[in-house]
Amino acid sequence: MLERIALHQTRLRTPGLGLEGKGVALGAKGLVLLPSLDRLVAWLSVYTREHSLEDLMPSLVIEIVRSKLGTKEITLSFAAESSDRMDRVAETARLVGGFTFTGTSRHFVQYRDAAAPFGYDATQLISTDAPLVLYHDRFTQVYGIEKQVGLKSLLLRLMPHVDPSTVDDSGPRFIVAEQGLGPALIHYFVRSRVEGEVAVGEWPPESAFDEGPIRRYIMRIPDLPKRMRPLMAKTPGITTFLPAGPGVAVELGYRHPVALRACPVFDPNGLVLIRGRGDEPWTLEKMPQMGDLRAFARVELRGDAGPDALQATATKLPDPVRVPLRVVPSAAPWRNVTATWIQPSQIPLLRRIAYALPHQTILRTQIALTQKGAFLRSNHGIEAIPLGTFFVEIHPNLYIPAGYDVTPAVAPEVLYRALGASASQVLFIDTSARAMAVEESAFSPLETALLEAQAWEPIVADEIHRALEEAPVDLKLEPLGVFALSQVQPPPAPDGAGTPQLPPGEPPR
Amino acid sequence: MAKDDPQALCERLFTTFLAPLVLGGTMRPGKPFGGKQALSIGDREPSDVDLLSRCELARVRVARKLAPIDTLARAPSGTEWALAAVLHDLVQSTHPGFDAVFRRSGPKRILDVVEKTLERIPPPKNVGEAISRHTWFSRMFELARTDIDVRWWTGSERFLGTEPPRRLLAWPELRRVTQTRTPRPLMDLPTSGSAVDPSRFGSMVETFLRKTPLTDLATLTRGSPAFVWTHENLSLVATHGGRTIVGRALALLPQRAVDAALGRATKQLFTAKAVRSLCVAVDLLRDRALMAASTRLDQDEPEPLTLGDQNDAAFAIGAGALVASHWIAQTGGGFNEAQRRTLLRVLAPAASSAAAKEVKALLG
Repeated sequence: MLERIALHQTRLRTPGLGLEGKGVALGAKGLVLLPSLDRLVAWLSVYTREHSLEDLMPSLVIEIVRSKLGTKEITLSFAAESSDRMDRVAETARLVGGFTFTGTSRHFVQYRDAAAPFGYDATQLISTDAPLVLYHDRFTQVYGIEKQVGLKSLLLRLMPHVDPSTVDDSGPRFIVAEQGLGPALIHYFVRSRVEGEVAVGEWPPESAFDEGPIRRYIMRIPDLPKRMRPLMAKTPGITTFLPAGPGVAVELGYRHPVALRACPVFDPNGLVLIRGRGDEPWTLEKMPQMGDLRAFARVELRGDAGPDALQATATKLPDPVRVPLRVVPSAAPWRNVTATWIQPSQIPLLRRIAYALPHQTILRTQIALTQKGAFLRSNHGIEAIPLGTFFVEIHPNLYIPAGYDVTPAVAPEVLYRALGASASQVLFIDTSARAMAVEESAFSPLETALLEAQAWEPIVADEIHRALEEAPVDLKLEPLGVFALSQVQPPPAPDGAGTPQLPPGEPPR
Repeated sequence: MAKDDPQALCERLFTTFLAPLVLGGTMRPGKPFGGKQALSIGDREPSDVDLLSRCELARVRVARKLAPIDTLARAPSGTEWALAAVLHDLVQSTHPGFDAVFRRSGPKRILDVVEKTLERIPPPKNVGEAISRHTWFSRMFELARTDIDVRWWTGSERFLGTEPPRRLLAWPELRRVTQTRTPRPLMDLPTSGSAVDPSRFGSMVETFLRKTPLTDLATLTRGSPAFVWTHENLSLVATHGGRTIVGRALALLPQRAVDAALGRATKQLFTAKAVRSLCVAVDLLRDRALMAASTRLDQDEPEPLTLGDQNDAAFAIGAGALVASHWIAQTGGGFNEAQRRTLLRVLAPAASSAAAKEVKALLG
């Protein structure tokens, strides 16, 4: 009943089937035939792992169809649009045991596969009133539509799988507490300085014997401390949910079979909490007003024996408090060790070490030689020169010994300001809290300071052809123009031209 | 008028001709200047200070090959401007544009004016001026025009000193386009698509070289115009400083070719019995022979000077060796006894060669 479409074939028999730009046979719709519901879930699960359903959603229809033999199967139809989209869908369908078709209204032919890269066309069309006729190279079947299945209701009916690994997942959480537990839990969070928001949701009574609607506290905690996670997961009356997409969350310890983030069927302004164990989901059509947790902290009033407030009788500036600076050992790890102070007695050692230093270290290091020794700096770390007292830079141009802290623990900016150094000075505070200032201009590259000038022997080259390469003189001609010789005039005659002559003699007397 | 403004002339001559002549690169000569304008420029300085500075650097480089000079006059003098304008006109006289109806007399008129202008330009007054002129014009024989022959499947065309249009070079593989680039040096220009008389052109170049005698001597191995001794280059060689500078300039050239050129020119003096000129020329040959011999003083077994196969070169070496031997024998030349003996031994074969005998006979 099917034949393969050949290259450059233009005429097709199946109504509603056309050739797209790449030459692939394509109708207005695509259709996936799946034998059972679990295959549909498998298709959704596999497809949503890599792609979003957002582009398919406007045209996606899931239907249960029945063949003439009475077997029920599931079709998933959508707008075909392009062979790229169809290829993605067909690839996933092939993986889960489904068949992919394309067509426009009633007649759907098999979508292209490896055997027919341009697709298939039906040689004979079945004359029927049935709403769906599928042509496949293995079968041709007529189907009637039994009912339509909504994707959202399908997703809500699917039971999440048990997955204990989600307990350790970080990120925001929704915590739902029963009405009696809510205030205590809020107080616990406030006391533990856990930030979050809280709202109260109302659900209709589960039976006619309940007095009123069921209220539960819903808390959104952006970052639940790790120590509290087992408590929130195991305490009866408290249920924790992990957000699985806009407007939907899945209970902690469970994972929904379909990636819900790829299914934009939930209202982002509402909240659907999907529970495990087969329990019905909790749904809030509209998310209630949420308030800061701290606003619900327990308040206590002091006794009313004393006055409301003590009023000051006078004000004045506090007495200046000045304490000397101290440098004390610190257990904090060393960071930003970028300078070293080498005492004069250790300079000969530096000379010896210089032979072993790598080129990059020499290149990046700067040195200032002073009466108190040599100060070496390198922005990339000074550890490569294992000599002297290491310093860390706590502020631009302010160094303290590595492994030490200054007390009182003032900010580095405050300390730098208190030392009153100019911007051109580099300050080193040693372990006895004595500050040494070295002029910034005194630092020069270690590369230039290291090498002593060697006596050299002049060697004259025998012949140097050309010290510098000379470009050739390239004559380019341009048209002479109309009056090329207009300026060609001989030089003017020199002044006093001609043979010099004696002045005329005086006439004889 | 702006075109007669001496400063404008100076700018045009400098940027389009003189600076490329010194620095290399593309030279685009314009309308011929003529003698009146050439002499009107005077002692002016072009406004492009950067280009002038680069020229000065290149000129010092040329000068330092000959003498320990660090500075030169920045801008050309009046005579150097005039010489540059004359050379410009000489080059333009070979312009292929003159090879057309009603224009063929143009090159002759230009050369007439060039001749009259050169008569008004004096030779250098001293060695310093000779060096200065040489630094401007030392590369005049390196000046070359690139002629391009373009062939394609249905035809061919020749472009003299101009680039072929892009349409002719399009689709090179399909149209089988081939380009042949032939550089034409200055002395080949009259015979390549020009209307100028080649012999007159050669004679004008020779006259031009008289005005810059150091360039004349520093390029004496050129093919055309052949080197001849003139009053101007003999005047330069006659001074001790000039002879030293010339000796250094000649040392940069292939020695055999230098000997051949000097020998040929000196022979002409011999045949013309120009004794005073001959004495000056032979002094240079003597210095060269002494220079060649003294380089072998340090050797344990110094090799004697060889004459080679070329007659002219053998004549120059033989004459130089003969005069040098006499000079050492008579004056000592400032050498000690051992050195004198070694020098005489090195010079002896050349001084007693057939060429030297010929010189002796000519001197009579």
